[in-house]
Amino acid sequence: MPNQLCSICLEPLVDNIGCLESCKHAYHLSCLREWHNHSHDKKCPICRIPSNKVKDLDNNVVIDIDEFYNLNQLISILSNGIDTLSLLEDDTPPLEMRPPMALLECGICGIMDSDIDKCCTDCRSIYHEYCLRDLLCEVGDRSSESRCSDCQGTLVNVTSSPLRYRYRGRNAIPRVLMEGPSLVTQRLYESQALANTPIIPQTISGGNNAVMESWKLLSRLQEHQNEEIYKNKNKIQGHVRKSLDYYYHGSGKEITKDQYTEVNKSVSRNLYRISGNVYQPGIIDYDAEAHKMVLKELRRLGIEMSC
Amino acid sequence: MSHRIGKEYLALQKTLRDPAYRHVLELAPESDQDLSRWRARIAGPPDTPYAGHAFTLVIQIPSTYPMEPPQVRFEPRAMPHCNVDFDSGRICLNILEKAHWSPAWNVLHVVHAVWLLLSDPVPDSPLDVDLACLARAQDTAALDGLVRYYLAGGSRGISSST
Repeated sequence: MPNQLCSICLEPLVDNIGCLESCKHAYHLSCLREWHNHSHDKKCPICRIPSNKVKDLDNNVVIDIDEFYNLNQLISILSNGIDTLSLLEDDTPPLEMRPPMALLECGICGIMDSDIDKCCTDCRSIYHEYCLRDLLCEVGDRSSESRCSDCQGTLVNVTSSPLRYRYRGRNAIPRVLMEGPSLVTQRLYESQALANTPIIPQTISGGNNAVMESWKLLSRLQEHQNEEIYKNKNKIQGHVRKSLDYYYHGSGKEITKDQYTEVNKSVSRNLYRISGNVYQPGIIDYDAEAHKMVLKELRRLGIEMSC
Repeated sequence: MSHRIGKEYLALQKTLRDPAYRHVLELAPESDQDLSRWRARIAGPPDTPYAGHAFTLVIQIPSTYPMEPPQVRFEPRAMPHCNVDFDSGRICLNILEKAHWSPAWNVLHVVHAVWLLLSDPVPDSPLDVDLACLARAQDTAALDGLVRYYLAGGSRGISSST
């Protein structure tokens, strides 16, 4: 439709055109989307006839407007929660309320890195394959196939897709894939009680601009959240290392490097759990807690410390 | 937003010459630097007590325009009408509410709608209770007479309802 103007922005309709299904009025998809966000009903701005679907004329696909809404809702919930991570401040946050990124660490060693390669199909916990193997060795069962250590669910490989890793120095953080719902977004989606609805409207096959925009925003938000949690964990680990360094670097090395790593892992993991993945220095005395736990761990390893 | 309102401003130069908008005497931003504050002058519709008078509208364009409606007021204490709060000039008109607004409308539509309201008062959603009572009682003579009296500069106390 040449020379026609979009009634919302008054710019010519050249591309990014969406045509409402019921009344066939055309607008820019982005304008329509913005309007639907503001109006919270699905009425055409010109004739007020409601349309549930809009046809993306560029890609020749039909988009369900309700599914747009879900995505928008999700983004606004996320962006509200991100500044404070306030979702975590409750004493006993239900699992569903925790930020989904908290689940990006290995369920056994608590480390978040690019080696994570197993995922439970039931509870969606993720693991390092080598951690699972270690666990099996520990319980003396070499034959059985590995199962989720939380719920005994079936494990699948996740390295190829849906997780992709971005390297940041020694550590790497899984990122949301643009091409499809990843574990993370799936998890996120369930936690917003929107399960059973695909996060990408299934009717969309090509690269729809508005949807892609949402994806980009979503992945930016998640990245931000990810970084927040990463920062929190780093701070907590700092306390553990401080406590451990005393025995490692201090007078006459009393523990080996492996012992150092092992104690660090398990104490840090405990501290994350206690603080619900949020660094709360005013509430928890991390130095004292770390020191206590380190001593306990060392005693368990059979290393008796003088102090 | 400034883009869209700028486009409207350009288009208005032409549209305002249309005889259908004769009653819109003036419609322009207060200054070309700030397109968020507009002023309009409209002529009172013929065959109403408002005929022969001109009224000034103050229009504020929100930053979210056109997703949200512009805010329109008459000048304070200048418009006796049952859907206008006399002291503040606030107008009760459904298309000026967020729930009824459509981004397909523009500033001229809004001014035109306000003009139409002058000849078609809606006494069921009044901002001026005195005038609405007369309108509801269909006492046209008394209503028109009172409006004329106020327009001619007749004194009116500060209403306590504000």
